[in-house]
Amino acid sequence: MSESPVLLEITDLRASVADQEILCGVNLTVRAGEIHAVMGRNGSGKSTLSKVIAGHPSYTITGGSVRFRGQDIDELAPEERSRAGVFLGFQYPVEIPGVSNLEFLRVSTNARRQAQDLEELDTFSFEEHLQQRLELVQMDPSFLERSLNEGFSGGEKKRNEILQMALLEPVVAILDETDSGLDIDALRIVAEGVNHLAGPDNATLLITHYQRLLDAITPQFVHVMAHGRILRTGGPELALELERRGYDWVDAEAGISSRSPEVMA
Amino acid sequence: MSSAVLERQSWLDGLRASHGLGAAELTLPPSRQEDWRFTDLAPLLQLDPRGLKPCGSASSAAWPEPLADVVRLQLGADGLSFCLAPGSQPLPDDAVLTGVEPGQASGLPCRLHASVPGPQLQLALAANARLRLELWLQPEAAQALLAPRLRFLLADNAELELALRISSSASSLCLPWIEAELATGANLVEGQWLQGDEGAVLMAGSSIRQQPGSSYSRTAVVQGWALARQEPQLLQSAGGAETCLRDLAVLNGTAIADLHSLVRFDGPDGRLDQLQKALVDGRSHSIFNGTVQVPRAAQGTDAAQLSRHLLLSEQAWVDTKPELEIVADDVRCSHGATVSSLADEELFYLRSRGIDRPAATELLRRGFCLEVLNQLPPLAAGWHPWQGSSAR
Repeated sequence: MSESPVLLEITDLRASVADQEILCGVNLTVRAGEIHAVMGRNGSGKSTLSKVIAGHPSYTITGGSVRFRGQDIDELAPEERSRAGVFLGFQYPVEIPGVSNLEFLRVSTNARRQAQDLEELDTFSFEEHLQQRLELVQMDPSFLERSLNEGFSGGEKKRNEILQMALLEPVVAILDETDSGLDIDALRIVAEGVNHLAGPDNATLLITHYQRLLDAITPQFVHVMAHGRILRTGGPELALELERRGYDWVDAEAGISSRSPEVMA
Repeated sequence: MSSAVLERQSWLDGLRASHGLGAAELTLPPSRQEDWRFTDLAPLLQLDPRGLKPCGSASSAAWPEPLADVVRLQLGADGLSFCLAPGSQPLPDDAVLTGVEPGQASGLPCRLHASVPGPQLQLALAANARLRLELWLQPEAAQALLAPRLRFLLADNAELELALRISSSASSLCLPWIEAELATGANLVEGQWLQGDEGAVLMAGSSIRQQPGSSYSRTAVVQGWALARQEPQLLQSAGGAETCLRDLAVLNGTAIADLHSLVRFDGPDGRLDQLQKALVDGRSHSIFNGTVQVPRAAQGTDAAQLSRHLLLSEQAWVDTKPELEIVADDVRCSHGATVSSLADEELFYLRSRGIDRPAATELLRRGFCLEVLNQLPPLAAGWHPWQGSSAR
């Protein structure tokens, strides 16, 4: 596995929002074919890490770098990162009244296809293209006719995120607490979708609090984040240990007081 | 006498000289008058009142054929009458095309309208009758004066779908006036598409009276215009009726759009659902004043009013004022007003899916507008540019 190419390389990454430093030196290497899980307390910087990789304009990189397939992407706009193959599945997908879900999916799919030198899909072709991906997430087609995420349940929003992931075929998918707000059936469907989409040429970064997602999606690497840094990395057994023992022992081993002020998510 | 007063007087003198009608009693409201406090009348005063003339319709050759069950009217050659558009169904026998007297109404749009000549239509629909009516009013020349007067009398359970489209060129003045009386069970569904060049002025008004059990729905879209003032006035004369108002203004440049609505319930159990939206860009100015009167006799009224503005420029301006006058004590009345810019999180969400910033902005603008555009009646639904891309 170590022979596979590096897709995402984060080196001593520091980032801030409103002059408050949130990421304080993150290091992470993700290779093709790998699934990584990032765990940590609320406020440890997990969601910030995902947004910084995706290019959220509210966050400023103050040091270090994010390299995607060997290219520094610090200066790329969010849409350029997406077209290149970076996907962020949102913890709280926004509701946008009046914007048709179907049209949104088509426009975003074509933006990615254009970057892949693939032919753009017209309305008719796109609906055919969409059909099998809908089955993957077992999503009711009536949701396509509605406004983007408007009035969707938590589970439907997350299915819609995985549907977007299936359509955009990202190289690196970052799923920010995709399991939050899901019942058991929805969690199973979402996990099956993620497992189906994971392949030897792409990689997945799961951000989660709970072992239950990792029961359904098995990562090769588990990272523990605290205070804006990755403090510990291990295999799937690390997630089980965290489930059993909590996070204090990780802090203690790293010589960090668990009472240190938390950074914002 | 101040220069501002002299300027207004001079403008009215010009209108009198040109049309010689009832403008003698007409005055333009001073800016200190509450109803006109935020509304700059300068675009009206910049029109040459002596140059304003009624004129005939632009060529209808490029217009789509009317549907098989639709009556379509357009302006006659003189601009003072209506005529059937090619391919239209004939008017019902009881339609009257002249001599429509305006009813009781107040306000500058009504008074201005009453001071000048214009095409007229009065239509009485018998009990249980149904009609689909389109009016395509597109005067051909600049400096057009367009003052259509429409009066509809709907008997019990009559149904009228009305689509009014006005497109006006620069330096013209449009003064549409609509009256309707709805008997029990009558249903009037109205769509208005009011588009004007950046030098044109719109002063529109309506007076709708509803009997219990009737239903009135109005969806109006204003786009362009140097100044567009609308004064829809609705009366549920014995309560117990349903009223739905949807308004959208799309503003740019230095446009001013002003919606002053009045809804009064003179009896119990009336319902109102009102949504006013405006997309305000450039140095434009949106004004909303929504008065809802619920006197003691109007127990059980259920009225909801919402004003939403999307502010797209630091130079744009919004004045919004919901105005609920509630005396009855057993009612449910709500109102709300929001003024916001494009949400950063919505933009980021779209951009994170490969949609660049201009396209994402356009999607959000469109989404904001579609909430109203989707409510246009079927006859007018094809008039907006995003037909078929709507989400419900």
